[in-house]
Amino acid sequence: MSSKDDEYDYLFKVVLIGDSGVGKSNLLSRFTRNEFNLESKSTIGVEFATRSIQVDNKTIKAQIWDTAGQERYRAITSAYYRGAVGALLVYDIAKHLTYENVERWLKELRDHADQNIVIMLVGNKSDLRHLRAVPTDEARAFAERNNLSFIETSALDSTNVEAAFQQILTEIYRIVSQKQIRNDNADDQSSPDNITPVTILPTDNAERKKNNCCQV
Amino acid sequence: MIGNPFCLNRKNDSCCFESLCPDILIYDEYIDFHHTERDVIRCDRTHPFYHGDRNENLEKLKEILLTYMMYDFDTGYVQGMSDLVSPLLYVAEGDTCKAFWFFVQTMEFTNNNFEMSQLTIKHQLEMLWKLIELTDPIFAQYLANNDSVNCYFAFRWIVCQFKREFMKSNSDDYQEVLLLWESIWTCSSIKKYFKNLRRQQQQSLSEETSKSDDQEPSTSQTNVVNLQVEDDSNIEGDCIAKAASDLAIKIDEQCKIVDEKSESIDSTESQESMTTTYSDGSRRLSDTELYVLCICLAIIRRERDLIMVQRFDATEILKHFNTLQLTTNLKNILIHAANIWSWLIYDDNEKLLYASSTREHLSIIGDHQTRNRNSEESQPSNIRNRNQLSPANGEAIVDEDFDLLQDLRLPLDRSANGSSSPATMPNAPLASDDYYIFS
Repeated sequence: MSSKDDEYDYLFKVVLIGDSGVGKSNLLSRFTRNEFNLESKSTIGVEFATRSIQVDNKTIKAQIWDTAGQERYRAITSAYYRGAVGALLVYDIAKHLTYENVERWLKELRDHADQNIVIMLVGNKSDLRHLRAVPTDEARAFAERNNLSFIETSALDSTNVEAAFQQILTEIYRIVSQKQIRNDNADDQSSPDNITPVTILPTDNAERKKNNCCQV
Repeated sequence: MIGNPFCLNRKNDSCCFESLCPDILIYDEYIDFHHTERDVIRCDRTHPFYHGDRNENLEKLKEILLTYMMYDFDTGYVQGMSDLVSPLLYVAEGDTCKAFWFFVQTMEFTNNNFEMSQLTIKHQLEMLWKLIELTDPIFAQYLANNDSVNCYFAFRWIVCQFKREFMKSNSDDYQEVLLLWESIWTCSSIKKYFKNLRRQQQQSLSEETSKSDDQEPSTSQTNVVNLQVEDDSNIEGDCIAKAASDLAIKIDEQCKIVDEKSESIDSTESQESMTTTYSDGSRRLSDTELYVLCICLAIIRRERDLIMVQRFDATEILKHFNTLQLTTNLKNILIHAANIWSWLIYDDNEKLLYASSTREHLSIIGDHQTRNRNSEESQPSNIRNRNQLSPANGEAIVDEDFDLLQDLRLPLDRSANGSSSPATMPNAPLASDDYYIFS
């Protein structure tokens, strides 16, 4: 039952942030348990859940932390940004204010999270087409300006929820594994593992193993 | 009647508040308003009282929260408040005025948990850590090894006053929550009562000894204990509100009697419950805050064996404590909490919490009881033994009468407790397995 028992190649910590009521908890429950609850209680403090996915035949275990949205609680929740390699910054496409606050949340991440954290802007509640207050193009342009990836989701009808998590985890994986390859092939080699010359294979392998053990 | 601005300005049902907003509210309050709305529609919707679309009680709930926002402008609306109001509105049978003033009264105890700086809640978590350190060094060490010294796992417990833990996920029942809250609301009065009682006893005792009489000890002491037990046995009753008011009246009466009898009430003592004085730079916990920490500790002690046996890491500890369902364990937890409370207050161990460092705690306790100090190397075997020997949640003890005044039995030395390992944690005045023996 303990997470130590299951096998994984990488463990990535991802935080869900954004104003209260934008649907962070439901994104989490949709992704990890395929559940949605319109009347789920407000998150006080932090909660988290895990799920493993496959990328390039590697098992990536995502540890997703769901934080309270209200500013008042940031003193507590920001402590949980530590060690996070990814952040889903969620707003509600039907509530413009939650989109306006994205800037605040970006600042929050800059202040408290790792500077290399991968951030994805998520416009949730895309099922509320008739109530849309934030145009997709505007949000996408904002995301591009700020070097964020962007997606619109609906935890209610499951649209893009899987894709959002898959995308950010894959992105993190690419960065991490490239960093690893760079580390492994110290200066000259940029070739993939499978065609690494036999002569240097032992040392190379040993090194890579060591790196793989490290938590990201 | 309360002066509810939303009643007075109500032109139509939906936007009475928003019509006020542009003129008198600044940005933060506007945000608070939206938070209120968002939280109300997802508050206890499985409870029949709030179930269904267009439930009028939701509107009332919102009204109360918005009124409170104006009443206590500095605090405003903070998430978690809706959790605290919903059972009160239910108890008040939908009467918003009553519920509002109930809420104002309970916020007297918990207001600081919602302050902007979050310093009070952080302080309480720090004190919880001290309490764990003081009473259960093994588990404290385990938590320290697993990056959980901040005790953030207890954050929601304190903010929501354990509401989420004592309501089943699909619960239609506030019974346990309300009983627990009653104990929180009354802890300060009960403490005052007991302290006066004790003083009275001491006075009469000294009078008696001077007369060299050997009469039975005062009977009022047992009266109060019965009061407590009665309270517990009411768990099955379904007229919580009545029971609550009865209890409050009883306590009031008892307090009055004591007040009348003992003319020399120390004025500082009577104000003690509300003081937040700083001594040596560290803030003193109010009675209510301390009692809430006792409940936290009681819950932690229930789970600590499981956590250590399963070797939970920081995240798993947090998750475990965050997903507890304790509805069926209320009475046990209250008894545990009362034990800890009694040990702190009546045995005068509260001061240990304010000793400037752990070493100081230990040396203070060490003065009282000489104990062996040693390492925690054999900790795992200890834990396993304990798990086999003692049931973590003894259901059997439920019917045992609890005597609040009886001294909290200080633990025996751990090595004398059947543990195969000679290793014993030092200076544990309330070590867990011993604790389970009597609880």
